[in-house]
Amino acid sequence: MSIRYLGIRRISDTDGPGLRTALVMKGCPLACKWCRVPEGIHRKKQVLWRGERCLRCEDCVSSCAAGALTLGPNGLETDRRRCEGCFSCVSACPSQALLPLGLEATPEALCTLLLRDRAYFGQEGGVTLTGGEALLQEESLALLRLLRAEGVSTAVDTSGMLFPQQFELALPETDLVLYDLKLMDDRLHRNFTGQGNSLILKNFGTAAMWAKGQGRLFVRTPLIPGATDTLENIRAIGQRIAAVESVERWELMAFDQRCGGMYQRLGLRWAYEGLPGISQDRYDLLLDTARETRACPDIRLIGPLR
Amino acid sequence: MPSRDDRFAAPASPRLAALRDNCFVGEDRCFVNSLIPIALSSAWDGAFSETGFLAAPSGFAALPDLRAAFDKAARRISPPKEFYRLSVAERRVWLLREALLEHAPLEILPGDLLAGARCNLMLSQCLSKTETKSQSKLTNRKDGLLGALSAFRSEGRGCAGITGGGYMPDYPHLLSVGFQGIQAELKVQLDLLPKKERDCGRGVLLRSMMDACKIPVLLAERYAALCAALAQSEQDEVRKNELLRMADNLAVVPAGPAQDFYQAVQSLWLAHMTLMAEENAAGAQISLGRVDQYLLPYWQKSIRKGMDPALGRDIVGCLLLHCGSVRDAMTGYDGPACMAGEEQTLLLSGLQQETAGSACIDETSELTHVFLDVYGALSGLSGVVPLVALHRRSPEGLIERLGNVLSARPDAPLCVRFTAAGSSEADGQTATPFGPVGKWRAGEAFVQLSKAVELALTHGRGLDVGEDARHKRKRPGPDAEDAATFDSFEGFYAAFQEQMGILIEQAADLTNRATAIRSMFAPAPLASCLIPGCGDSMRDVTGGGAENSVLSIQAAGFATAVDSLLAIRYLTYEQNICTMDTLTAALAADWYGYELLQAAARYRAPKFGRDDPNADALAGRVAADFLMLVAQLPKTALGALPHPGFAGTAGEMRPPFATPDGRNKWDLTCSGFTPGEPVPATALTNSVSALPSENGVLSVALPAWNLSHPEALARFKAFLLGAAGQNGLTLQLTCNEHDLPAEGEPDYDCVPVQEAEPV
Repeated sequence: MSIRYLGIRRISDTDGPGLRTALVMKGCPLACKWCRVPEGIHRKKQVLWRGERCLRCEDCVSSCAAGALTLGPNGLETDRRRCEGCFSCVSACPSQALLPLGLEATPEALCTLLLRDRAYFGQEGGVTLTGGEALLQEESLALLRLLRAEGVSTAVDTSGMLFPQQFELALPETDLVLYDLKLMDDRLHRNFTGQGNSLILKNFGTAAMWAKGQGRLFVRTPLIPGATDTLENIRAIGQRIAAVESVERWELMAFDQRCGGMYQRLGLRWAYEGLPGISQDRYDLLLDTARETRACPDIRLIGPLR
Repeated sequence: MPSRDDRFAAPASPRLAALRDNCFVGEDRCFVNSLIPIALSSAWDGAFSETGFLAAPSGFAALPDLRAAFDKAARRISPPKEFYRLSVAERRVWLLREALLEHAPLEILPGDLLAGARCNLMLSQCLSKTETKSQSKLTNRKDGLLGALSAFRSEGRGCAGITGGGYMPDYPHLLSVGFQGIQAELKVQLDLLPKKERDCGRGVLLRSMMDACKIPVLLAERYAALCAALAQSEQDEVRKNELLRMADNLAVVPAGPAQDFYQAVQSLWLAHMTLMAEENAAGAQISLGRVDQYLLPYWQKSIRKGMDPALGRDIVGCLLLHCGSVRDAMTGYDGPACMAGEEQTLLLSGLQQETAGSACIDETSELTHVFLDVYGALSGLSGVVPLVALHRRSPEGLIERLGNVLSARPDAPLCVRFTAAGSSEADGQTATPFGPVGKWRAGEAFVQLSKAVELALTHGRGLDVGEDARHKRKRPGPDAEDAATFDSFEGFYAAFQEQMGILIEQAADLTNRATAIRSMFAPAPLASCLIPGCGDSMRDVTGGGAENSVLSIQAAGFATAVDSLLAIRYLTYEQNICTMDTLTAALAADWYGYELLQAAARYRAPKFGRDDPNADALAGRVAADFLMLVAQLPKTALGALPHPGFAGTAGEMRPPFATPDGRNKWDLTCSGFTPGEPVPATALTNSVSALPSENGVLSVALPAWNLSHPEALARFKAFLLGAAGQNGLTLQLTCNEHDLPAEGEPDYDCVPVQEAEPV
């Protein structure tokens, strides 16, 4: 029983309040066009080639039993259908030009790693499971239990795109839920993320009920040009948050354009390549609009332009 | 978008902003504290002395050029008759007085509240022709000190000798008795001497110290006259009154005890700048000590008597700006930037234990906040570093203030050091992170630990010579067993340890030679007045007079050496990726032709500073062995106790050999504990906390937190309190955006599966 993850982000300031260690998990039921962790969408193991570190020794090519790798003039090419995710190429590479995307470890082993910074967590910090989708893998619950048994505050960053029973089981195991509400229009949601939002809104209601008890609920909305950054969408999300009356904070997340390089490395097209971002004036307008809804006591803009 | 100054709770006052802005107007600056070289008219005399630069890790090669430049630029002064019949100490006092009173310009900066400006002097050593020859014999001839230091450096073994300053005068005593009080104390000592001894030896030294005490007093008189003259012609009534008040202050201090806060700071600065002038170095590092504690009674008294706190802030700001001006030393001279001088440190907050066994009291006061507040508001000010002592129960307000400072000045140096109840630093009011007040650094050496790795790999010969030359050349290290014959890493480590011990001994020996030469030819009578022990022992501070004298032996390139040992263990003993002979050949070729092996050493071998228990255990062993080897050194002939430390950026070097961690020759070694590659601040502090060191400096780049936001401030506080268990560690904090991952790089660590096992 193991958890598939991408890596660990330490001293994080984007994964909840306080100083936190975040476990970035692999696999997500959504495929948002703007996803800032595109390597976290597929659950399948992948390798990431970093050309600037490659010595062109071809040790990776010869180590691949599946014959999935070829080193051509444009760099290392991976036949992803053939790749079995054994990471023998990663082990063979002398210069760490290949990064493994999809490590595996037991919840116990991960718990030890995640607690290395517990001295710094203070009153507000702790461990956040993020991704990808933090709750897609059922072993996440075992990890959350272990962390709470250690007395560490836990948070999960979720899209809410989960079976209701699965989601209800997870709530008692965490102290804080960072819940993504992206688009209130179901059709647009399907266009931009590949899935409708009915399940997400249903689970949001469940989370809101839980938050009226002992849990803490933050809502997060990524501000994406041409997608989520309309005043109508912000007002609609605000109204939904206001209706449930148990959301502590609503975070509008500034558009993060630094992930374009990751799409390129994964051989994917990034829909926002070369497009302008969001101006500061627009951010201010969106924040004002959100605040006008009086959705919750704390509404703020976070992210690269905060 | 508000400027950083505006975001800060209390921006710099118009007075301080104007004084600060003077530093950034290029040729239009109204004041530059550049070095003034002054020599005697004697044909053999020159202004420049290498003494204050010997141990600086870089810039050594520029010394001959600097000597030529300064000697050429020096003003020549004719010494009085019978000058060379005086002792060297008396001659130096004469020249210091002449230089400060007659040759260095007396300047009062517009709006300045403190008198005393130009203090960077490069003064002749005042040696007679015979003494000059004797000194030259000891330093310049083939087997002289400079040649030995040069060889030590050029082979990358480190550097040794003396750098300017490195001590903490007993300013609290000065403020309470004034220079006239100190002079009276010296007179008592003089009177205790038998009559026949009063005009020779110890008596002459005491007289020269008493004369030295008069210099700051005379300087104050000159400045008082200048203030009065400026006041007469001043049209602005407010400024006129300020100048008159300055003149009044100078009539009291530094001759007598300070009566209020303003006088205390004026006295402190005049003493500090005169010491700086005596040091004969570009920006000597003389610590102001625990300013917020010994100035606090004066502050409180002045506030009680109605001093406007805003005036107090401006006085503090003027002090900081004057201290920062010391960094101007090399302005106008072609010299390496590293020779522009070191920072002046202020020690703030901390614990105090009245008596052994009693509870420790936190010493944070209103004045602590004033110093930090003013430092934070003076963006652009360099040359001053606050070192704040923290502990687990430091007041929240203090930590928030530190956050404010970093918020306002994210790239400015701010150091915090952790202390605990029961530690030596909390034991008594006079203890400080640098040791007790009055501690004197007799000499300083930086030992490049990665050189010990190289010597262990090469029979003690070094990599930088060809096979033929190896047999002819003198071994820098002891002959050791062929590294290829070691069956285990333990055998190699023992050889490394032996080479490290030899390097430490060599560094200590060279430093001793330098300090011995200084004691003969470069006495420091004024510093001797302010360093406890000199008056009682009737010995100059350079001649072993200080009660607390240390010979600082610092490990340089610590992380590079540990990473090199880890790479050797990984490549040759654990993974069998190469033989020891292959590794040595790769290093000799500077990795040329061995790029795959270099990549394995650089990227695959374990590294210190990443929370890897095995790597940290080896680092702990290296640190413990270094401390033990330094502790085994005997006290020097001049009474200095060898004192180990781990150098931070001060020990950065570019050794001329490649190292097994994948580093190419001439590349910089790591800065102390700080690894070359960026790592999370928590991982680094965790690793360093495992080391048995109480004298380490760690540079920590925190994420680009907007510390003006309460939540970011809470993160900052959580980090500092988390690190507060690491007593004795000094963190040099910056808060910037350099740690952001490159585009396309993940912002998380891909911790490999095999390491994701419980330890």
